[in-house]
Amino acid sequence: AGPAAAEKILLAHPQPTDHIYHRLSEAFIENLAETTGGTYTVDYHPGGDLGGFEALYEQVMEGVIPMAFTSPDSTLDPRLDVIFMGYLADDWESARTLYGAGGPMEDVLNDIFQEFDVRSLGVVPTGFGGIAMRKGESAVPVNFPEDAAGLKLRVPGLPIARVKYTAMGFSPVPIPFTEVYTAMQLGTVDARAFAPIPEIWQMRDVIGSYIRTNEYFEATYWFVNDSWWSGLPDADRAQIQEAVDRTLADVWDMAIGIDEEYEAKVRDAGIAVVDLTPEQMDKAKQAVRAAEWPYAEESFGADLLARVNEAAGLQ
Amino acid sequence: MDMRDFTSLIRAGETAMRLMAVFSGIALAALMIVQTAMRYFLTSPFLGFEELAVLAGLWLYALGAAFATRLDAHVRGGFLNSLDPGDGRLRILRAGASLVCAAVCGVYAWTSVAYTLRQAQIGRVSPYLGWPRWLWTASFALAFSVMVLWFLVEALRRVQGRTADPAGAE
Amino acid sequence: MIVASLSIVLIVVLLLVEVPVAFAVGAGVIVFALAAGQDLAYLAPSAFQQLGSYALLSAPLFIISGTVMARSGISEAMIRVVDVFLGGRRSGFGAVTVISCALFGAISGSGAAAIAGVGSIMIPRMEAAGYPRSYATALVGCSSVLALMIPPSIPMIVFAMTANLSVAACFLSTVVPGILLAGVYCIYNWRVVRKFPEDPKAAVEYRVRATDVVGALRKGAFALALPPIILGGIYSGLTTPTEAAAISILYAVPVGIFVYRGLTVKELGRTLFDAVVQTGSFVIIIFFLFNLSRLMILEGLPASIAAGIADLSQNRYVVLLLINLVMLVMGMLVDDVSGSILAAVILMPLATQAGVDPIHFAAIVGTNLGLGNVSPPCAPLLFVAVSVGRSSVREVAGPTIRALLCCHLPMTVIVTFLPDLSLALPRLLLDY
Ligand code: NA
Ligand code: NA
Repeated sequence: AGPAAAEKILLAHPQPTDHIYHRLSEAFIENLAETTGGTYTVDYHPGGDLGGFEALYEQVMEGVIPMAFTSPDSTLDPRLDVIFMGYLADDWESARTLYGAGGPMEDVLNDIFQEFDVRSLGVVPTGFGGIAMRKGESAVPVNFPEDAAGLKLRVPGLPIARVKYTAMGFSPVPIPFTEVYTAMQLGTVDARAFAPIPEIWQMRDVIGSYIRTNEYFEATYWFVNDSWWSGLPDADRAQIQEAVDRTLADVWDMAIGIDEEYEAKVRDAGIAVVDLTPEQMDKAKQAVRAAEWPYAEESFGADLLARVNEAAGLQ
Repeated sequence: MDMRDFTSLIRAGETAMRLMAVFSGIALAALMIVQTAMRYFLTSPFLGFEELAVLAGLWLYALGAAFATRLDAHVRGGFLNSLDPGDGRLRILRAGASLVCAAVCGVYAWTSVAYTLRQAQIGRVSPYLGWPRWLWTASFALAFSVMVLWFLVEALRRVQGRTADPAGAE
Repeated sequence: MIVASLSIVLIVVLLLVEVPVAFAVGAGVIVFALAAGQDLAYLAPSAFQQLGSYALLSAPLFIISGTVMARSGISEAMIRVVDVFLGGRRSGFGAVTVISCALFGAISGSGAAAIAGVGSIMIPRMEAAGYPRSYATALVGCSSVLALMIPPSIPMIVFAMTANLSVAACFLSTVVPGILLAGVYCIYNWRVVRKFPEDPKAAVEYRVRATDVVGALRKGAFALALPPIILGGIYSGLTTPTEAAAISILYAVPVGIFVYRGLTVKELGRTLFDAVVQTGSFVIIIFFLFNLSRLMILEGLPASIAAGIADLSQNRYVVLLLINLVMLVMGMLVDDVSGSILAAVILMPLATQAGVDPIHFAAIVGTNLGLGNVSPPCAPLLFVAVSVGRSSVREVAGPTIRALLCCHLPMTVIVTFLPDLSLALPRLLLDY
């Protein structure tokens, strides 16, 4: 350390180094050095060594970790499940309008985040979710709900996941993340959900086909602890914000690029990537909305649902 | 309240904790068995099993750890047990070891009680059942608090040169 | 780095004066956190988050079923089956002990349950056949580690959970090494027993006790069906490891009560309570260890240790040798569950950097740290064996260390340098 030791910002995320989180982190480390002239450096913790998605969110909330890329934990507030609602966006462009910087979803969520001493510095899109069928499973469901009948689908522990995939006709099975690979390999489940395409690449050895159902858009966030953030000297905060803005300037193009890059890789690995026809997509949308809207109204209230619907242009 | 009431109150508390320990074991096993069966026989499983199982598990861990203190069943190493047990300095050393344990438990009792209260304050609930989250973390808050007491009792016993507790060693 | 080293020294000193492993680590954590300027308030919550893992729930379930089986008479029926094939000669008693422990391992995840089930029956029988009690006790202690190498295994569950690996895949990695080690212990026992003086009175004792192969198999059928139920369930994809653990309880309880009649409904409560206490005594250790490893990560310790070893050598085999040495020392100081957390946090990144397959590394950890359970000064399984064998640590330590040096340590080296040994089965069953 020099005469004036650099201030260290602890930055954590739960993904391996081939993820968009890592690319952003590396860019941020460089940008921060430039905008702050080296007075701030990053104490970087990738790969979930300080916890997974939920644990990181809680630690930002508690102020133990000042900065993290993660998604919010809906066990803290069921309204946060709103980000996993199905079919609010049709394509990357509408997703960008809805979830992106200055977009309506940001407003909706920022109010909730602030109640937990958390602030989002920006959205980090990771792509549309799809259904990955295990290798050896011949079924390729495209007409929902009927095609999915009797198929066991691995889901994460979010209440909205059960509603969504039951509506699509699957039998949702909660299995911890560390067992997903083996469960797919051995046939404990027939398929897994909540998987944007980079995760399909990570599990390519056990996946036979990937159906681009796009039943939700995975928007995650660049979170900071609000007290820590507001406690920074104004000049410093502006410099850090500048580094963040530079890092996020082309995040959407980066995300789209990664999506295309990994789709090509996945196809090359011999996995059948299946797109739904417009009719099949409409059918899936209707099935999901018929179950998810009433659930959402009950779970996070008619007001919030109305705001979301308005934002998504779905009156 | 005289001393006898106090003793019987402590006894009753301990019996209740024993029953809870056994119950958490039964509950955990039963939940997992039913969940496995339901995965095969029902198309839409009740996902609340997972959080109930973790609830039973945390209470099982916490009460098990507390009783490991009560029954002197902790994993330990060392060389003291091969030395003369009548040695006075050794007695002080062993009592000191118990006090270190009590102090560690004290710090953790404080932080886990504080954390449990914070959960209650923000009204955090479990995702499926909507039960208050403090039910989960209260397990270790209780266990650490009880362990402080039991380690202090152990320290006292060790100073007096008594090694085994007749009530604990059944 | 200095702060960390001082905390480690504190932990070791506290371990030596018989502060339980859990609270020795806890004291080290508190001092570490205070000195490094980390917030004490979040230590307990961060450990709660890790303990609240669904995968860890298989540990108490396997401990419950193992305790039930150790007391239900299932182990006796199992021993009888092995006895029919191996029990004919004097050295056969040791072999029966070793093989029964390995076989019991296929239904139980804890070494203590194997000692309770096998040791309580076999130590008196070995002594009657002219084995010194200290040797018989040491043999039970050493072979109880086999129960951990043959899946299911509690330390492997904890390792897989901490290292973010599949429990099912990690389970398979130590099967072949475990079976080989059982064979090595049998041969070792055969050589050692020849040196014991013949006792003419004992000769009667070790003549074939059970010749009725069919009878023994019929009686043992319910016990022998359990390994296929547990492991078959996991590796056919019918159940996850946690569900398999639950099913093993569902099977063991009625079989213990109605078939082997070693258990009454009333005793079941007592048995459950004991299993809960046993679970608690290891979970409280991992609770504090989660905190210790968190602090180490926050202070960047694993990275600097990895850099330090990488500076010494880039050669994969040299790195593996160094990793093994570190684990060996770690294993003496702590038990294997603690060791596997530390190995996953500190040594695993180093191993993967050196190009070691994670599942192969799981086998190295499982084999190496198995030693930690019986290597003094902190040797929980040895202590359990000593109390079941009504012997003393001082008497048993000698024969234990000899057996470990002749059998377990060489096996560790073989597992380290022959990856195929541990990867063959995962490849065969999981296309790994
Ligand atoms: Na085992
Ligand atoms: Na040891």
